[in-house]
Formats: sequence, C-alpha cells, structure tokens
Amino acid sequence: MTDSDRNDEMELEAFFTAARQMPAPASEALMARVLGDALAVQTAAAGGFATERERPGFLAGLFSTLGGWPAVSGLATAAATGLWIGFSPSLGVGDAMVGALGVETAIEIYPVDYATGYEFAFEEGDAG
Amino acid sequence: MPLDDLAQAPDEALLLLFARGDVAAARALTARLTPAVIAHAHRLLGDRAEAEDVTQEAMLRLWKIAAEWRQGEAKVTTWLYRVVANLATDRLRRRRRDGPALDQVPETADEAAGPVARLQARARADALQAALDALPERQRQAVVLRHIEGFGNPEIAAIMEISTEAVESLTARGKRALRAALAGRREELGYGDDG
Repeated sequence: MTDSDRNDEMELEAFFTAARQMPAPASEALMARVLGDALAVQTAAAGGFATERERPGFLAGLFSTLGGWPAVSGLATAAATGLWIGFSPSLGVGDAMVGALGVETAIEIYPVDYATGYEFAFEEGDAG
Repeated sequence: MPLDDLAQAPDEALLLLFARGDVAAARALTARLTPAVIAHAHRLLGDRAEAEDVTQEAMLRLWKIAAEWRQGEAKVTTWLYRVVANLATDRLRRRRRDGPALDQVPETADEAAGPVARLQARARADALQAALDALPERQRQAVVLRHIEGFGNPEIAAIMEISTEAVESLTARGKRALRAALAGRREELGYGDDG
C-alpha cells in the first residue's frame, strides 16, 4: 500500500467515523409505534400463548392440562380408592369386585369372614 | 425476569420471552433494536421518512415471526438486517420507477449541533451519505455493514446471502467509488484541521 493509498484509507475512515457518530436517531414517535406493534402482536397471539399477566403458574397449568375440575375430581376419587385398597386386606378387594361386577359368587372365592376394608378403616377411626 | 437480566440477555432469549407474552421483553427488544435498525435503514435509503417506515415494517415482521423463531439457526440481527435490506431494495426500485420522493431532501445539521467539530462531523456524514446513495445497492449495503455497522465479512455474507469473497469484492469496489466521489472535498470538509 502506497502512502497515497494510506492517506485515502484514513480519509475515508474519517467519513465512516463521522457517519457512526451521526446515526439517524430513533424518534420517540417511532419507538412508540414499534412498541405498539409489539404489544398488539402479543395481544393478538394471546389465544395461542398467554400474556405475561395471564401466564398460569405450575399448578394452574397442570390443573388445566389435566382437564379442569371434572378430571381432577376423578383423579382425587381414584387416589382415595387406591389408598383404601392398599390398606384393605385381600377380602376387601373381593368385596369391591363383587360390588363392581355384581357377582355374588365372588364371596365363594373368598369364604373367610374377614372385616371388609371399610369396616377396618371405620374401626381405626379413619373413615368419614 | 429482573430488568438487569433483560439488559444482559441475548436478543434470541428476549425474543423467546417475547413470544411467551413477556411485555418487558417487548420493551427491551424495542429499545435495543429500533435505534440500530433506523440508523441502518437510513444509511441504505438516505431518506428519514422511508427509513422509519422500513424500520417499523421490519420490526413488525420480527414480532410476527417470534413464535416460530428457532433458536440457534440465525442471529436476530442477521435476520433483521436482511429484512431491512430487502425492504430498502423494494423502496429504491419503486423510487427509480416513480421518480424521487418529494420529501427527499438532504438531512440538515442536527439540532443539537453547536461545536465546530460536531458541525464538521455532520458535514462529513452528509457527504458520505450522498456518495453512498450514488453507489449500486449491493455495494452500498456491503460498505455500510462492513465500515459503519462494523460487521465481519462472514456475518455480512450471511446477511446478504453471498460468499465472503463476494463481500470483499463489493466492499473494495464500493470504497473505490466512494474515494472517487469524495475526492476534492478535503478542504471543504475541514480535513486541514485534522493534522
């Protein structure tokens, strides 16, 4: 690179420096328009994704994902039933099967007269 | 997310938050990107009103694509500068077809100018802008990205969707044309004072 080239390069760089120092400023009106568009897009998309204020917490999200109150009620019932079966002796299962299937002969399969799970729980003071 | 964290967060993370409806992320991205976009659009178009329109349109496209943004594929700025270039090209073609806009007048010295140095910088910036406006679009875009915005050749290649060799060729030709256009304005633009 000759001295002349170097001078040309430095001179051009001075123009570039001036341009960097003098950017077209973003007016407040432009900033407001851009932000307005941003919020409008977020609002329009709120059907697809919730806005910050509406964003559900973990439990609320889980509740919604599971299907709301009807599903959660069913889950609670199933959980309580499972707990009850877990505490019950095997005859309780047999009785439950009788109740569920409406088959009287189920008793013949389990002839020993143990207390049912419900009676067991009642005597322990856990029922109700 | 606290404001300090938002200020530190990369553009891509903010865009993800924006897509989840985070209003603070919308504000942070607007404040961070809009000034850079209007400055770049103005350098490509040489017209303030058109640069503002292009800026708003480019940012609107960013907001709309946020929900589909795939992390790691591209930088937000690369994508944004590419959109600005495409919108600017459309405007320049329309301008050539329809003739120059009535409000297209050179930018005047900015209102806050007082010191001589600032006036001088304004004069140089305006002279450069006039010379840039006369360049072919691709040369202008490459020169602006490389020498004013400060991007490296690989990123410019990604923005312009060309090879780095093509970037080098465009910037070299652009600078040669700028030198020729600005030659003889040394005294007028105060270069005698630079030492």
